[in-house]
Amino acid sequence: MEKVLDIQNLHATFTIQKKDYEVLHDISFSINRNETVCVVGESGCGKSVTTLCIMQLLPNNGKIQSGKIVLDGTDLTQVNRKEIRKYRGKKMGMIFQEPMTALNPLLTIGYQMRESIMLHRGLKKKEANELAISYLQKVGIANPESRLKQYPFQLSGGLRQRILIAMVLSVQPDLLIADEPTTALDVTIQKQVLTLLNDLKKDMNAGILFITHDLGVVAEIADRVVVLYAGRKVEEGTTEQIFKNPKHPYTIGLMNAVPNVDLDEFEIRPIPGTFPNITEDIPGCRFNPRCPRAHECPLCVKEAPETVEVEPGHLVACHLAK
Amino acid sequence: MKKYITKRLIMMVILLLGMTFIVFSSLYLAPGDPAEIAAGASATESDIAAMREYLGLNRPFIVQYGTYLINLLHGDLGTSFITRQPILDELLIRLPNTLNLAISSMIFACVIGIPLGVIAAIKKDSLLDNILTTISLLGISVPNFWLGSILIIVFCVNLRIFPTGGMTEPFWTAKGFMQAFLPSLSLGMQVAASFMRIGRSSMLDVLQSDYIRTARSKGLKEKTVIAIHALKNAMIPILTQMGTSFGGLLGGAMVTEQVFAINGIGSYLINAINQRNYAAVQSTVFVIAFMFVVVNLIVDLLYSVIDPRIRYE
Repeated sequence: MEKVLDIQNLHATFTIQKKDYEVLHDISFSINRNETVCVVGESGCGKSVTTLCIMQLLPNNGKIQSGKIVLDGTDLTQVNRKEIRKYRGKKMGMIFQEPMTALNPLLTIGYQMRESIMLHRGLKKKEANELAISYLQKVGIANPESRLKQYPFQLSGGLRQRILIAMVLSVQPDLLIADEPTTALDVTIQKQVLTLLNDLKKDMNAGILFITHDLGVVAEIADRVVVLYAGRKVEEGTTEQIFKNPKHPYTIGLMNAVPNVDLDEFEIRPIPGTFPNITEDIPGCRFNPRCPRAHECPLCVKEAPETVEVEPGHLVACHLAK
Repeated sequence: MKKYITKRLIMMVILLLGMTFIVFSSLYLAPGDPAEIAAGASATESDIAAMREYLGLNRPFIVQYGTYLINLLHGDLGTSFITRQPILDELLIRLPNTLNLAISSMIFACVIGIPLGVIAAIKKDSLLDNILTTISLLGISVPNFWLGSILIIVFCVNLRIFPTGGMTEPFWTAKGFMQAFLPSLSLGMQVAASFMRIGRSSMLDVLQSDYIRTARSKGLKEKTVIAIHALKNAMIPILTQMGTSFGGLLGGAMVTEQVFAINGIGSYLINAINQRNYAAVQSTVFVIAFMFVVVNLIVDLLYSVIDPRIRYE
């Protein structure tokens, strides 16, 4: 299978008050064509930072220290600032978390859609308009002609999110990055957007990197899952492997935290403790202070665990997984 | 949109009415008898009484105010106590000079202040940003009469590049440009500095917004991101500042006109105050306030041009 994106040993830091803190530590995973990879984890685990590294849109105090981000054969970390915009939009499109603020309030939908089409596909205004209309239809928007003349404030959140999706897709990127695209939407719209992304992935033969903390969404859309904890990859596998046979205590904790309404005693079992701040230095496995099994092995508090393959394609970074 | 404009127009009328009342009553309560001044130094007690009668100053306050308002509605700004000329005529001779000064200062402030503010924001925390921010702090702190005097000493007296004063032609002619250059520089400096500061902060706000990140993620050139996506949004607070600054320019024009010997309504107003020329003071203040209100109405209308959220209200 052809890899669209291949991230290898990515390390990234944020500088806070002149000190560097590592936010991503040795992250590796890849995405094939026609495949959806979900990255899951709690807020602050490095999900969004990973997407910003790929897009090269890290804030000024963020920096990629080492590693490779290979998109269609090009290592993006080696591309200079001016050249990178040729990859943005055209090769990799991103749908952001907040549809309410992700569109420019002072420009029409038509202008914002035509802008990328004209830039990346070299079309004239009229042709770009027609293409924009066809993509708005694809994402299930009624009256696309009149929508093009409207401004973002005239549209609901669900409509805006679809417009953002149509905008990204209209350039036909090889990689689609979606950072919690359904978080701000209500459940019915959420379902529509997920179905839409699933259909479009097949149509366009693109790879999708989907960021979420909602395991329900993961079950619905993912082919493979990457679990991040405090800037480290703790587990990776197919959706089936992760849901049926989770190995890392953190993944197991995440699964248990989802309330199961079918059970007689309906309760939520949260993971104890709190998520570490990036400024905190935790020796050994980053999860050990919250891990229910850390006492089983003296290495947990001493050494960072190596990633091991427990079954084909199923990777776990835990001393107890061996 | 119609509702928006109607609302603004009604507010404008109320504002002007309130303003006439404040000016009228504050001068009414001010010490000193204008009839005494108008009658001259050698006038007898009965002369002054006759003058008071003639000027209508012996009538009750509310009658005087009512008469003033009715005349105002007819476009009659009254007669100067001193020259016995219609005040409107006296103002109309001087108004072009003041407008010439205010507009050229505003253009100077826009051309200098806005781009520098934008550049400072784009280069945030760089050496250039620090230099520009320091300059803007200086610019906002320097009093315009002092700056005007210094400019005259350096450029007119010592270097002899510009005329020391006077204003006879509009700023877009060659001679008018030379005449308006230093006055606009001294009057527009504070406004330019304020535009720079507001421009920088609003641009910084906008550059951090989600839609700018979206624009960048689309692969647009940084120039396009700044010029099309950021600047338009950043202009909204700058526009507000332009409206309020125009009032500052009209106020500052009084001092600047004195320094550069420009025959405008600002220097007319100062003379009128010194001479206790009530009618002239009232009318001049009214005209200045009227211009200020009109400019702010234009600003309100410009909002709707930039911002569809107001246009479609």
